[in-house]
Amino acid sequence: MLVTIGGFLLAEGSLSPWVAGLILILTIIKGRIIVVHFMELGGRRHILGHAMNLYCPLVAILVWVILFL
Amino acid sequence: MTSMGLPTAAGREVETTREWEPLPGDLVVWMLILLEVTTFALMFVAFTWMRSLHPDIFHTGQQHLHPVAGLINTLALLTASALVAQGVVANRADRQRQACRWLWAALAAALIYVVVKCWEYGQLGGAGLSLRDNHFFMAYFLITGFHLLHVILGMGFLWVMAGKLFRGGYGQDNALGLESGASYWHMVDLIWILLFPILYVIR
Repeated sequence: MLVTIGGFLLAEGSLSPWVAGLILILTIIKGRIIVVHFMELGGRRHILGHAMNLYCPLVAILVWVILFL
Repeated sequence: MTSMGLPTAAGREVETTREWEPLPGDLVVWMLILLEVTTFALMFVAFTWMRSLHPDIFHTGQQHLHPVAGLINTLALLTASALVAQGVVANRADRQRQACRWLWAALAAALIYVVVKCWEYGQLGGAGLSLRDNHFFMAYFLITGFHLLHVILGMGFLWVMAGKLFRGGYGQDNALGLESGASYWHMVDLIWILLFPILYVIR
């Protein structure tokens, strides 16, 4: 929750690519917490588990690339 | 790594190793989850691509949104997910009634999300905005509306699971349905974790 509030406060006003990148990194961290701890996929050897672990980073990177490159 | 015995032609079991560890819940539910998150990923990418083509329309559209409402929704869904996880843990400890109470609490948190989201839609509708206005609002209402449907469906699962827990339907050795429903709920939360910054925060 602190990560969410921190990212929200960072975004006040218009965003530079670096701030947007930081917000997306915070999003990846939150996603990883959900996947590893809530979904209990941390450390499991399964292709679907690997896919879920890659989901947030892939989407975040795609979004950043489309917006700023 | 876990091992399993396999019968051979000679009738003796041979130890071998399973390459993949089982996931919590049913495999079919996980395949559905993967399909859903892929669909939302395509929507997020499409939204971002449209924004790169129409930056002024998207910037103006974002000014009409309520980021504080989005923040409240994020906290509500994160809380609900944590409560659902506690319910799964309680069931594993053979405390089904406690697990039921955790799921009821999760439902209450999810209800906050639904109320706030309906309030948002009411505010936008009251300002005369709809998905027919421009690309931004079409994308916004479609993505958030689709997600809201998933939240409502997830709440239905939580309701059914809480009822089954109350009747003692789950247990330490009978948690497949509970874990499947919990995994679906965490998917809904995971999608919102991405949706909130992409639609509300990043400008």
